[in-house]
Amino acid sequence: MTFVKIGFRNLFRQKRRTAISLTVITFGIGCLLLTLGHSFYIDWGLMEMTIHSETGHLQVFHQDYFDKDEETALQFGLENYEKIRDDLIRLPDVSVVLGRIDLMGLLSNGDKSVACIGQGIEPDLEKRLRGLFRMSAETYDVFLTQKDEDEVIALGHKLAESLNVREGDYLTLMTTTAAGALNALDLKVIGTFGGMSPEYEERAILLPLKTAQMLLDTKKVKNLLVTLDDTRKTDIYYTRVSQLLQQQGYPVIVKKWHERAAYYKQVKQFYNQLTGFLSVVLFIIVFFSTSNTIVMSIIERTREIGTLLSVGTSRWQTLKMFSLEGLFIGLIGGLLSLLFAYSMSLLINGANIVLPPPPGLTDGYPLLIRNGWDFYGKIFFVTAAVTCLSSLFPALRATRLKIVDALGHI
Amino acid sequence: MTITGVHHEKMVFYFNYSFSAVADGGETMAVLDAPVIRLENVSRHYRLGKAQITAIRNVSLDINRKDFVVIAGPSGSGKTTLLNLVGLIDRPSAGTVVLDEVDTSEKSLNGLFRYRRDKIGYIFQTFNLIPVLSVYENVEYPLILQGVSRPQRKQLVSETLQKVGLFDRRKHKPRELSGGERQRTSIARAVVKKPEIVLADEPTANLDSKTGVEVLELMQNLHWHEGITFIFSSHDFRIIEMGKRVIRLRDGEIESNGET
Repeated sequence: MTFVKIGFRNLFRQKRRTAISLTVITFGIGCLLLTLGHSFYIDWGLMEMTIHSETGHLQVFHQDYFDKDEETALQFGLENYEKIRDDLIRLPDVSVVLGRIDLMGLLSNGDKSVACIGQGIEPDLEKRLRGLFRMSAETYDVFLTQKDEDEVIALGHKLAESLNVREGDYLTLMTTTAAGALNALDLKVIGTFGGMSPEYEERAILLPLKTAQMLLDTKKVKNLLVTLDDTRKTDIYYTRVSQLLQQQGYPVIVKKWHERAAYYKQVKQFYNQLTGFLSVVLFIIVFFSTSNTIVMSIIERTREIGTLLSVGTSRWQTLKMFSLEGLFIGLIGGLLSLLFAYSMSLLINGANIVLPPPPGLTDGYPLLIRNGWDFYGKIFFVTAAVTCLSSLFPALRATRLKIVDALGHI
Repeated sequence: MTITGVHHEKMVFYFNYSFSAVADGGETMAVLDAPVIRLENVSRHYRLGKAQITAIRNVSLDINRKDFVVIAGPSGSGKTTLLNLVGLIDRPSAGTVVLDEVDTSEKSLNGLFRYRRDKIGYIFQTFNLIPVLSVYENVEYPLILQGVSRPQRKQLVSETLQKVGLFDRRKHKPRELSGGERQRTSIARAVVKKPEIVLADEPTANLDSKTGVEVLELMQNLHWHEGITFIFSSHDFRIIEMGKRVIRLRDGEIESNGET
């Protein structure tokens, strides 16, 4: 207890130096927490966006979909998807089950033909799937207002520009059927939509699932997307859905959302590396800042160390005393950095700041910071550990001092 | 016997103490006379660049229990080096230092911390109190190192502070004390653990002459009342003549060793 007392009180002997160390830790670790908070927000946002726009929480495929190559379109699609959907939608936490078809084709306005990548969708279910996420209202509402007409199409903004078409114009979409024959349909343009990247907008089309099935001459869908009320239930429902479909004897396989989210994984990895590097840099700064404080403290207190050793303080006790000093700097600095990060995050989140779109994307995104005691706690303890460690080396030096030399130090 | 500045009651105590030792049939005397520290042919050399400096040369010396010894000599005569060797905070280049019948030469300085903690008290010229601790906490510190229980510590520290006249100043930090009070705190810290010997390197050098004499009187008082062995160094003749026994050093060698 005495060593704790001495270690703590020594912090206030050189108030200015301790204040500088605490400032470095507070701002350094505080900024790290803000960066991590923003990165966690991006991670969460991208995860939910991926789930609600591309993958759902779970996807149901034909059991051969991943093992064999399709010779014709939808060879390994789901034939009895309506029945599967009926079984799944009865599960308590399942909110949406929808089918999709991917297709590639040639879109022509009579003068110009452009290769396109399309998706056959169920607009009402897609809208529910996407919930608050973008592309919801503008894209799906146009489909929903045209319920009476099936032979309609929506285009990416840039594709519409390229083909010089407006709402109400007609385009011809040509593709190969599930049996391998050529087929074409005249489709009425009902709107345009934006996407994540300009490249996507140059090629993307959306059309009702029934229209896509008609064009491909099939009753199948490529897969079913299952969306849950809560992303945290994904693992539980993966098992539950797999077991249910197996019991029902469907020849299907279930995949979790992240198995089908390559872009999300890449972005997450990028942010992990970025924040990881930043963390290392900031902890190195904290390490040397604290170490410097302790080194200076030891130099100034050399005679005192000599006194402590001469009255019978062991080397281990001396080491403990200085390590505790480092630990206290870490604990106080860590606490201040949490308060700094928390208050700054409240300010930033309340300021509605929108960041410019990253390269390759068309829309900016909000600067929001996530707070969480989980990572706040981890960073706090790492900070305390780093400062404690940083004081170990100078403290070891103190324990190796010759008592006579230390007592004679001026 | 010439003892300057000693009050009458202290003298009475001194004679009572001597009488009881003799009345014990000589057994106590044997304990009194047993050397607590024995230096045998001790030398201490330092290297200063390529030159070798000899601070202490072939010193042999016995310090008995309940002795009150002053090591006298001019600056550079080796007083501090001798005290450092006796206090086990330095090692001899040659010879042996025996503390309480234990040859300490075979132990590392690190391994000697228990001896320093339990058997030796130090009083420094510059007081060397821990500035962040109060007077009470400074005096308590050696007892904490020894693992003494809190109630016992409280009793011992309070008693010792009463003896050195600092009980009322126990909550003050060293910076709030005068030089004499600091040195009295340093003395209290040295004696609170009841060590075998207390070493004081020029304990009065940083004090004015009146305070210096008061501090020495306090040490004498503790020596008589508690039977603590004191070894202190000085080059001030007024202080030197207060010792019971004076060891005079010159150029690292003992010039004389005897009663004052």
